[in-house]
Amino acid sequence: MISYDKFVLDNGLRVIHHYEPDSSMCVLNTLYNVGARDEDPEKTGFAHLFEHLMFGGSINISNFDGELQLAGGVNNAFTSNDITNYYNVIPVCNAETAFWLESDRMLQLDFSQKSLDVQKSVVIEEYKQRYLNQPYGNIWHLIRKEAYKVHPYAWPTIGKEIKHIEDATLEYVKDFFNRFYNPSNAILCVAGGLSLEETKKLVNKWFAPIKAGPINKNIYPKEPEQKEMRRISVTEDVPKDSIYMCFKMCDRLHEDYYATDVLSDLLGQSESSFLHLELVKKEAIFTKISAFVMGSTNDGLIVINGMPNDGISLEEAEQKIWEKLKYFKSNYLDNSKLKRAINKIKTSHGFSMIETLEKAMNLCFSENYGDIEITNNTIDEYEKIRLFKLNKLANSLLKKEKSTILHYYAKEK
Amino acid sequence: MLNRAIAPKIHVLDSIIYPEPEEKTFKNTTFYTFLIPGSSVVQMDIVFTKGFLKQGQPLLANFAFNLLLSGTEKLSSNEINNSLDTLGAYTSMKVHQNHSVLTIYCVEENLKNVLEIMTPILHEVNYPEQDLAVYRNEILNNYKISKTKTSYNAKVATNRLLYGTDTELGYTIKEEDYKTVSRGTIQEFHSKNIHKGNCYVVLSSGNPNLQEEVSSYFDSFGPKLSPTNHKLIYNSSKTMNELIHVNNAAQSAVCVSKILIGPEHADFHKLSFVNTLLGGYFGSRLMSNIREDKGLTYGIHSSIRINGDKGVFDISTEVKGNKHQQCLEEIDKEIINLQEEEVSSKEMETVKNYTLGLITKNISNPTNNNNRLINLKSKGLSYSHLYNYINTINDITSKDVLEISNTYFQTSSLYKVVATKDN
Repeated sequence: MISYDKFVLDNGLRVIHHYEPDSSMCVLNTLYNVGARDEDPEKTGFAHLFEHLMFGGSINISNFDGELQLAGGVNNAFTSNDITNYYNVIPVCNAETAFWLESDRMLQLDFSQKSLDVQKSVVIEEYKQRYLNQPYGNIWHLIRKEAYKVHPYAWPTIGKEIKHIEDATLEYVKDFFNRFYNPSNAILCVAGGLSLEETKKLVNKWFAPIKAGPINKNIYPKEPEQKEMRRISVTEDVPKDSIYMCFKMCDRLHEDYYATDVLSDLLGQSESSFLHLELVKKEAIFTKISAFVMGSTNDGLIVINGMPNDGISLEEAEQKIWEKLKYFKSNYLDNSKLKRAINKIKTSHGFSMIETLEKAMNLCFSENYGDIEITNNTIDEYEKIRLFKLNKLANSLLKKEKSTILHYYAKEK
Repeated sequence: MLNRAIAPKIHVLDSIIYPEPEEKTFKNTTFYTFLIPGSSVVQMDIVFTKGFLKQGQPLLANFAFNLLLSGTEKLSSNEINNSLDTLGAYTSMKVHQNHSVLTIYCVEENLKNVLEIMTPILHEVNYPEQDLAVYRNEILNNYKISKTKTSYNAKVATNRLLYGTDTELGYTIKEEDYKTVSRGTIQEFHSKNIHKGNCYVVLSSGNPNLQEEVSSYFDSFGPKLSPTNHKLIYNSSKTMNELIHVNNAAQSAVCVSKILIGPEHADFHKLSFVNTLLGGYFGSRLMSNIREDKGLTYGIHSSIRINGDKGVFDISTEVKGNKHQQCLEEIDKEIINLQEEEVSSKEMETVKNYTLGLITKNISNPTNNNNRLINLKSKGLSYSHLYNYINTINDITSKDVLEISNTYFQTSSLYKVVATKDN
């Protein structure tokens, strides 16, 4: 259990406090309710580019990183399809520096053309380093576009194409800031060795004077139920063939979310999972095969990924997976397997309750889903899962007509 | 009215204290225990004092350790994995130069049951052919994928230049090496280096008595091998530069490196400080120039890692297609700057405070305790090494930085490797 206090400022900023009296560090984690799903389809990659600009100087402070480092702090940020999250970890004695810095860039950025130009360049290099200069780096561009026909999960956070990043203008940067970056659209978690009293004092001093702003009320188009199998096939300069089979699944707040997660674990989390045992060890069809869920806020995907052994075609490999899924749905699941999956989840959950920063982020994520108690209720939710529910889900999810399949061929073998 | 232009006062950090473990030897096995009050989970590291150096044949240690839970006469790998999964346990295996670590993560109440299954296997593993074949296939596959990456190619070439092709560290792994490791040689390696339980144990948990409660599982473990000699064996190349061609690379990988003094040398900690200033943190000279000013890269980093009795310095980055030459020039420029111009007091203070803050942050996360201890022990160092570093950070001056930069970072003494599509 993570203990916490929660209060809301007049400007709408939701503040969560988690106290660890013995800690000499303080975490300031700020979540803005804006992600790649809020982007204009013709201006993708912008939420992430904007995250970079948040380090380019604010109205009263020219160098965010420099000031934080001078106070002994460490910081970073990330953008997902759903949210943008910024964190600072700083010695408690200098906690106020982080309040000063984080509140100033919430108040107003110092929009400069030079900062925009440089960060466009940096992000374009990030695009190349992570998506173009990596074997299989473009798979999520391919899969998202096919799996999502109307929902903005159709593109990854880095954006559809480099041109969208090149085209970003200062005017659009300002507009984006005004739409999403304000206390009403943010959640702040202060965790570690700073007391509740001190936290309230510093929050009131630095964040309370910031004016309220618009709340992100975007309604995302519901992806229509998929009723046909979708296929993508590409040939790229990679050493081995690879296959991805993705199935539509529920959103993060749906009651089936936890059971779907367990299904993916049983299918392909580890070397004792079903697909590995059957297709790597028993039949030697694959070199490796795994399965996982995308924990996205809106409707997600359950993904199976494998690399066939030499001499096995992707068609053959796919056929084998379908065969095994059929068995999985009818004969594989039982209570001992369910228990096994939940036991592993309990272990990893226990480890996620140790580090202060991880706790602070989890509290913010849960609050943003609409219920801060999600963090503390996780294990209960998994324990509620019953076998019939798993069976039912396996049968309704792992269907051909709900699948998007990518055959990724190696140019030369 | 709040004046946001004025920064809050910065306070000096309290003294830093590293958590040190309780040490206790049962029969032949020493336990080091860290307490995480209130934690319901356990991390146990079983640290074997044998790594991939002097393994006899490339990749042999890798096979022998990574297949350590692959099966015995009585139990198949499936049965082992299934039992461990049922107990909610995760395991990982890492093979380093002079040591290898088998880590167990589980809830505290299950540790005994996990060890009940696991400790006999460490003696009795017989490396079934089928598991060997699966593993061989998997790592060969990973190797083929790595070979297509510019960063991997630059790294491999750098090792050749730094350590020499006739040494273990400079040797370039080939596809053939994955195929020639046999079950027989793995078993031989196991009986010589692992079989008797040549290890010590590091434990983190919320239960102060746990080591007593589980020590008996290690009673069958034999006496330990003699400690490792920490001398780095290398034979650096006379050629200082290498350009490698990689088809269709969207970026060029750049690697600049040199073998320097080791942790016993009086200048070592000062050198670490200069490394941080140059390329060891987000606000470093290299990041500020090559990323934040010129936008040539997503990131550029430098590091000094202890390797045997030496320190190995390197700078690595992936830059815009045809900009590797400009990047190398800018790296030289930044180093020459450090040799010619005294660092401002503000920048000195920033690097000092940042480094001390980072140390404090790492200490505040108890999941780092095990690794910190294992790292020190594997290099023959103690916590005093870390305290000396803190003292150096507190005392170092901008004059020291000038001197260190001139003594150790002569630009002509650096090895420079580029992997690119350009010729």
